[in-house]
Amino acid sequence: MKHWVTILIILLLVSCEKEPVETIYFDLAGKDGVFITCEGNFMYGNASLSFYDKEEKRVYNQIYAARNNAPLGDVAQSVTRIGGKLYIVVNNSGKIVVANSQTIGFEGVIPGLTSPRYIHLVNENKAYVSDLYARAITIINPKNNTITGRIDVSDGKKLYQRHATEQFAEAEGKIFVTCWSNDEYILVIDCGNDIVTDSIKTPLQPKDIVVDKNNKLWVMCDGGYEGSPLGNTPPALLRIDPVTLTIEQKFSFSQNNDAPTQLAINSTFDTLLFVSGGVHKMGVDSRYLPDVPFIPASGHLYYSLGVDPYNDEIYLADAIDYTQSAIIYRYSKAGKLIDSFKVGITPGSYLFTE
Amino acid sequence: MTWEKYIAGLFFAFSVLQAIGQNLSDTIQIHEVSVFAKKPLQKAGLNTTKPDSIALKSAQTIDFSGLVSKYTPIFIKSYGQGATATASFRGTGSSHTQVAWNGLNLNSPMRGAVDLSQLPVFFIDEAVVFHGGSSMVMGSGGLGGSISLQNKPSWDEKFGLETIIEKASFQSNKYFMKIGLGRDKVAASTRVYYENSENNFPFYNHGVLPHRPDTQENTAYWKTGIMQEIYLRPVEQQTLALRFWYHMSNRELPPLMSYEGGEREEYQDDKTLKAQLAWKNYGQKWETEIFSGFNFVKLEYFRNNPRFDFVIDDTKSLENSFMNRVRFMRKYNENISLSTGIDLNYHKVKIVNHTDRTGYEEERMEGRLLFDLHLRTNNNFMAMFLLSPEFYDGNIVFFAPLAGIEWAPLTIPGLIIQANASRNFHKPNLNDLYWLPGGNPGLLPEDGYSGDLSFKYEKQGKYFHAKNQLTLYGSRIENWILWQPASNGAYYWEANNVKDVFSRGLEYQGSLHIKSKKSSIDIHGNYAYTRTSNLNAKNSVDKSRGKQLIYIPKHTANVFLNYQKNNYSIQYSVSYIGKRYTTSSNENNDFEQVLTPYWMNSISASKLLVFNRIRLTVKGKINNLFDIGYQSILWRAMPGRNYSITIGINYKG
Repeated sequence: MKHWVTILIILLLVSCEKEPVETIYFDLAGKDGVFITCEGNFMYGNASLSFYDKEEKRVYNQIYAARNNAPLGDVAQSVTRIGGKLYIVVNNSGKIVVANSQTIGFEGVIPGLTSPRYIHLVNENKAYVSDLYARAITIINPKNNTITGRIDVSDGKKLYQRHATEQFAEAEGKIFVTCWSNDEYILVIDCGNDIVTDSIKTPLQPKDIVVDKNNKLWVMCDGGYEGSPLGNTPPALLRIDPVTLTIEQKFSFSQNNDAPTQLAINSTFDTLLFVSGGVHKMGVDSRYLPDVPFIPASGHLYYSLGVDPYNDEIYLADAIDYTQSAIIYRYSKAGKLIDSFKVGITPGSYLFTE
Repeated sequence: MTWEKYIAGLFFAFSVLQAIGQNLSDTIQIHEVSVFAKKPLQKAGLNTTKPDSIALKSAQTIDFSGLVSKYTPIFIKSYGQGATATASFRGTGSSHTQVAWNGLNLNSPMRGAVDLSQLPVFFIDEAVVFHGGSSMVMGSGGLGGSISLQNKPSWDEKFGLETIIEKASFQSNKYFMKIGLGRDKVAASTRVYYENSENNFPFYNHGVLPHRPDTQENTAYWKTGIMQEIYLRPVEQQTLALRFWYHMSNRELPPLMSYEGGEREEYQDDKTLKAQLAWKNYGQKWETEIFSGFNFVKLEYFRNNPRFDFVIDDTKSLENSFMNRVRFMRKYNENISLSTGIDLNYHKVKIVNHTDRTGYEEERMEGRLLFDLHLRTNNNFMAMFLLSPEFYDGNIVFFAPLAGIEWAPLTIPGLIIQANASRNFHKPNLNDLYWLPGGNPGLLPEDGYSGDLSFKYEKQGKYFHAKNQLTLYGSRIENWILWQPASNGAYYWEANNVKDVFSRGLEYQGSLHIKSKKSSIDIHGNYAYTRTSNLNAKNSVDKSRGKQLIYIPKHTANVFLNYQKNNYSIQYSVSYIGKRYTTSSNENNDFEQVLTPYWMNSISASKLLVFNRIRLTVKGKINNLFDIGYQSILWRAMPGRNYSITIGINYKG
């Protein structure tokens, strides 16, 4: 009798689940640093949030999971701070996770989205959320984390399911949103009435958008890919007048070179930065694309770029093989390497704090 | 019989089940002892194993992925009940295990892999697993190995009818029927099945906050199929086999546990039609086989956002494969045979995504020559050598050999030592070459070198029969194909020959049959130690060098136990799946980047009732006996304890 009772106990023991993970508490108040969302791998549910303390040169990884004992979700696309809260857009989980920006404690979730991408704060009661697959921009109220409305962006046609909205910029009292996936438009939104009022046709797939010191829009279009039924065009950098809604300048890239991505702007809004192999710098008054990278690729394939709006330091992520912790290189404004540190898988967006 | 009481007591302690049922296996077959000198020359030097008849009967109502994971050393990566399940053999990828149905290759020319969840065990009479390089006798591409699914004619079965009905948890139903007819020169069998499940199991969702009890949604599925076999034997030495198999399924595809988005509709439809015609002539000196078959696969993947009528993906693909082969085997005497042959296959794939009109339409012509020599030098030594040059898409791979030896030391009766070495290769599949965007027409084939060393020991007594096999292996796969973000920084992913993988390990299979006058006990077990690592790290910051590949457990094991007395039987199975990393650097922290090991236990009891020519079996089963929570794939919910009851009726005229 006692033998098979022993065997039963052993089997029960080996079948037990592991112990719950101990909660780790954070206090990031007063820390000067950067939040980094790590997308993780599509359909792995392994997105994560990291925080890098610029002063101490110390990185805290998996801070959301460590504090809340739950995963962030599948593909963390972007992070925005509104008030004292972080709004983390988790693309393939169809939700925005809200966490305290100092303790990282869970404060709520905005569920029910389709494929959310980026948030743009309009005012303290209203923010827009772009979406790849909703044919609408979702309006949320950050005060109570609820969905309050939608802006229809459908072009009424089935082909290519337009419009898939992406990144926002605000200029001259209007909000501009790029339409990236299988698209070629920038939509103009009247944020008072929450309606699309106009659009600007661009080369294929406009994605990143920034505003310069002259209140001009700069947009990077990747041009699609060779063999696409939509066609493909050379990648292009556009300068757009937000008043007349015209493309004032178009800088075309050779299709034989490395693809240009990750458009950003410095703290004085007079210099553009982007990745094309290495990191390139370009003055907003320049008439030519830069030939030589400011920071060479040196064998790296940079997955994302962040520019610190407080000191113009540059953060460059090398995702290595896309299934392990990425490495981030921190460069000074002058392009000198300051530090490097490991974060989660495929870091994609940066939120700098002061 | 102390051991009988011991085992019986153990089972009853585990189970709340009343002994209501019995076994669908009404015959326990005792294996014959292999006599080395009489072993078929064609099997010399090959490392093969096969689930026995008890395992096949026990797994009769499940799909082939369940049989493989419970009764072989192959690791199955399964997305859950009814969902996609692919094989990972010896640490390789899903496309590196080749699967053939009576010689008709089932691997998708488009994707490379076989979804084993679409193959019901009920439709198969025998399954043989070829380990490592031994798979080359079936064809190239099995860098991990291959699985041969076989159907056999029953010439002496005048009339046979078998029906099985199974009701299970989560509104699951299964219905099977087989009718067999046999005469001296003609045999035929028809098998049909239908299976459906709401699959709406409860689980505790710790992928969202607050953590809460949840119910799996969007997981329903149905599957159905029919197989027709017709066999003719006009003269004693000749057989003609004609087989058809039509199969269709619809599966909803569930989101991850962390999903809290809006309403979604996502499903996959599969339709396949397979057919084959095989003629064999068994002469004194010559054996000849002519085989021709086709495999049509139609697959539709659909994902929609119903609220906004936004069709995210609507992809339809059609794969047509025509496969032909001729074999000649010359038996010079009992000790020498030489086989030659030629394979000629044609594949055509058309895939279209109707949302953005992307897709491709491509063809592949491939051929293979075969030279296969088998020798027996004396009663305790055999050897084989195979060379199979192959061409595909205008490329030629000439040097693809397999060499094996088998030796039975006379000083240790029952021991057989076996070794083989091979160079095998795996062609890039058509998606790797032509998918838009990212397909890479310049891909090289994946190139594999492998070697096996096996020790087999078999012993039989009056009341027992024991078998053991221990295999050590090593293999190197160069030019391993992976999809990664485009090397020029573009936003899409592309296929490249990226990794250089070294896989090594050991496999153990053991079985023991013990019988007494009124009872018998069978124990079968497998253990696999699989160490598979990437040697081609990208640069100094790449921590994947030498680390275990993701989703490949180092340790897997399974044990299956069948106890039978009179017409009652009890079966117990336990599987162990070791830790699986989900990062290439094998990072191991507390935040679920590692899938923790788990044991999966199941128990069943059955009863056989005999009424003249009718045999009625009733079986009750508990799966996930200890109701463990586990993840097979990251953040995919899996069911807890669940139940099934099965009634089988067998009539033989």
